[in-house]
Formats: sequence, C-alpha cells, structure tokens
Amino acid sequence: MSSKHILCLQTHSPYGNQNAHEALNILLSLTSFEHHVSVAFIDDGVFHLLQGQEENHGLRTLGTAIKALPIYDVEDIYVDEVALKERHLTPEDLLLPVKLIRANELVELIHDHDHLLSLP
Amino acid sequence: MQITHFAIVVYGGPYGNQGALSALNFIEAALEKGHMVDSVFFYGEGVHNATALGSAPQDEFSLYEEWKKLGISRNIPLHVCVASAIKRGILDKSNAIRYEKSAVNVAPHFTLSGLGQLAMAFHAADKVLCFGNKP
Repeated sequence: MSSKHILCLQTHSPYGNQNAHEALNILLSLTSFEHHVSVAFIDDGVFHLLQGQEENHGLRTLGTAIKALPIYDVEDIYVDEVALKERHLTPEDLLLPVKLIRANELVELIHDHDHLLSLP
Repeated sequence: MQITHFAIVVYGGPYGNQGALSALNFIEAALEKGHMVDSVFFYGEGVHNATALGSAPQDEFSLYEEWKKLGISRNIPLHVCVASAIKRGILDKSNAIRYEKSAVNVAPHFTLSGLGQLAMAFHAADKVLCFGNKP
C-alpha cells in the first residue's frame, strides 16, 4: 500500500446539482486514507472559492467546507489565474489563500502527481 | 508490453449522458489489449447503473447487461458509493433493512461500498480514469 499524490481538478461551477457537495466528500475521504491531495480550480470551478456562500438551501454550506480544506490536509489549493481574470475576480474575492497558476504550470502539476482525478 | 492497472470511476448515470457507455467501451478495449481493470467505482448519478430494474428495448444496446458481463464473466469488482446510492434509492438488503425500506433494487453483481474503496483503488492503480463528469 503506497500513498499517492493525487491532483483533483474542479472545472464545474458549484450550484444547480449535488456535484460540489459530492466532490468535497471525495477530497476528504482521499486524505483520510493517507493520500496527499492537492486540488486545482479551473474554468467555472473557481466559483467554488467565492466569498459569501453562506446559504445552500439546507445543504452543508459550501463556503464553510472549502475554508476547512487545509484542516483536512488539503493544503495545496491552486487556482487558474486566467480563469479568475476572465470572470472579473481577484484573489481578494476568494475564501482562502490560494496559489495562482497558469495553464503551463498546470501541465507541470499534472506531471508531478501520481494521479489526476476530475471531480464531478 | 507493459501491463497497466486501471481504476475506473463512473459519474454518469445510464443513458443520461455518454459517460457510462464510454467507460464500458474503454474497459472493453483495455482488457482486449491485455491491461487490467482492477475495479469500477460508481459515484453520484453513476449509482443508477447499479439498478436491477432497468432494461433496454430488445433492439437496443443494454448498459445493464454489459455491466453484468463485466461483473460476472470478467469478475471485475463493481463498487457503488453507498452514500450516493442511499440518497438516490439504490438499496441492497442490509441498507433496506437499516433504512426501513420495503424493497431491494441493486443488481447482485454490484457492491455498495464506502468512499474508502475509491481511496484504496488509488493505492494500487497505475491510472485512474473518470467518465461522465460533464453535465
């Protein structure tokens, strides 16, 4: 049994379905089985990180869960700088400190991990 | 040739999108080339693939039959996320009892498992592939 470095990729916006909720469950279960988990938010995935997500129609609040990621050992949180810019967002709009990356750095990141998991 | 061990994740439900079909096609191709498919993990809407109650019209391709072949003839473990399944009314006997439901509808070649099973698949696999995560 070897623990792996897993890069999770979130490309979808968080509302309109259960996916964001279920994606978080995947992240948290991977860390609890001793994998090293990083996550990259690209395309509409960057909307997961927006401040002010405090109501979610009775579901667990996404903002709270995202903010807790470092507590669950998901420490490397990457965000596509261009995706933010395209959506008129800046790092100050986000819930927690992130590492900004460009597309070419994402390619390097993928190479540096054992597995790539697209999140729902 | 180097043999690759694949773990497959299916997010797509049956017939709703291309995901489940693409997964089946990929698995078939990988096995044909001599690679190994260690397990398939169904998550989110993907759990509906595990229903025992679905059938395709006679002249159409049946996803359900294909999963059955993989599970029974090829002996590939088909794991269904238990949390996703219970929310969507896909139940095995023990969960039907536990949640006081009157019926069981998971096909026998599928197993309801925790997310830990997915994490375990990452330990052993050379590559993990996900299917059907586009809305």
